[in-house]
Amino acid sequence: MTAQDEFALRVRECTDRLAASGVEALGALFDLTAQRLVRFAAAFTRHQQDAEDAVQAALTRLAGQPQRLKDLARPWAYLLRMVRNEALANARRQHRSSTAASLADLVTQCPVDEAEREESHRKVWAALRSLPPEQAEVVVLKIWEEMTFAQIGEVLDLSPHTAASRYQYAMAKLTSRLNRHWEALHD
Amino acid sequence: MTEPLDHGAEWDDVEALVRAAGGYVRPSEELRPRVLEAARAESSERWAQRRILQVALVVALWGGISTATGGRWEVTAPFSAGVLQVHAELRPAEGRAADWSMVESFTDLRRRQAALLSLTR
Repeated sequence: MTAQDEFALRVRECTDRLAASGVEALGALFDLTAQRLVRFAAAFTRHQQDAEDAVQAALTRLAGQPQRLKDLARPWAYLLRMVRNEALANARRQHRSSTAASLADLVTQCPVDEAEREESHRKVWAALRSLPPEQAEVVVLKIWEEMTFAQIGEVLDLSPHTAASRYQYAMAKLTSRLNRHWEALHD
Repeated sequence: MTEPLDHGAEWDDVEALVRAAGGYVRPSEELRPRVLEAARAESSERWAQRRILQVALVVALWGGISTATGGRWEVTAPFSAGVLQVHAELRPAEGRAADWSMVESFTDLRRRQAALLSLTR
């Protein structure tokens, strides 16, 4: 069983507990998924606050109707989709432009002994946020969530072909933008 | 579209860089309590709405039954056959409300039982 399968299974256990016990079981689901959900939303909303608002809205909605995930084959994919829908709805309400390339809004963590890696992480996030949101979200799902293009298509409501195409464009841009940094690291 | 897309080492390096940055961004400290508080508030609100709906349904049902029976009750269980018989005897003659009709049925039954007991002594 892969790490992703194991994670998906744990999400399933949490959502089952939520359906059985109600709001009191939400803490466990939050602890398991919040970092990944915020990371996903922060990559394409480009504002951590917007990402957190979307995660809050999705989890609150889910706590009120936990049966929504009960019969789904992949509750984790559905949860990602919920967060994305909330983020898009918030963006429409606020008419906020998604041009923020600054990383000042991000809440980050980097152990002291890995401080030298922080510069690399910041470059990655800056490059990721410079992508069009529809490409950034594909990169997050492909690399961090280790999804197939078919699974990505399911979350984003795209064909696998479109997901793969967006990934190709995104990787070309990321390669170009991170190339100099990568070379510097290996010099 | 077949997977994986094969772009060799060129993408491997970039994918490795991106993968390594996966844990860099985290939720703020206040997100957890905020989410739990919002979920509890919404849950309480839903519970209150459900209770209001239930009470409204009971009131509507009560009103419907009262209207349909003209304020009189069709009494069945858990009363004894004796009470029901007395109640049935009294009911057509009286124009009383259902609750007083039941009280009078009991009183009348007790009176009859007392009369029977005094005869047997």
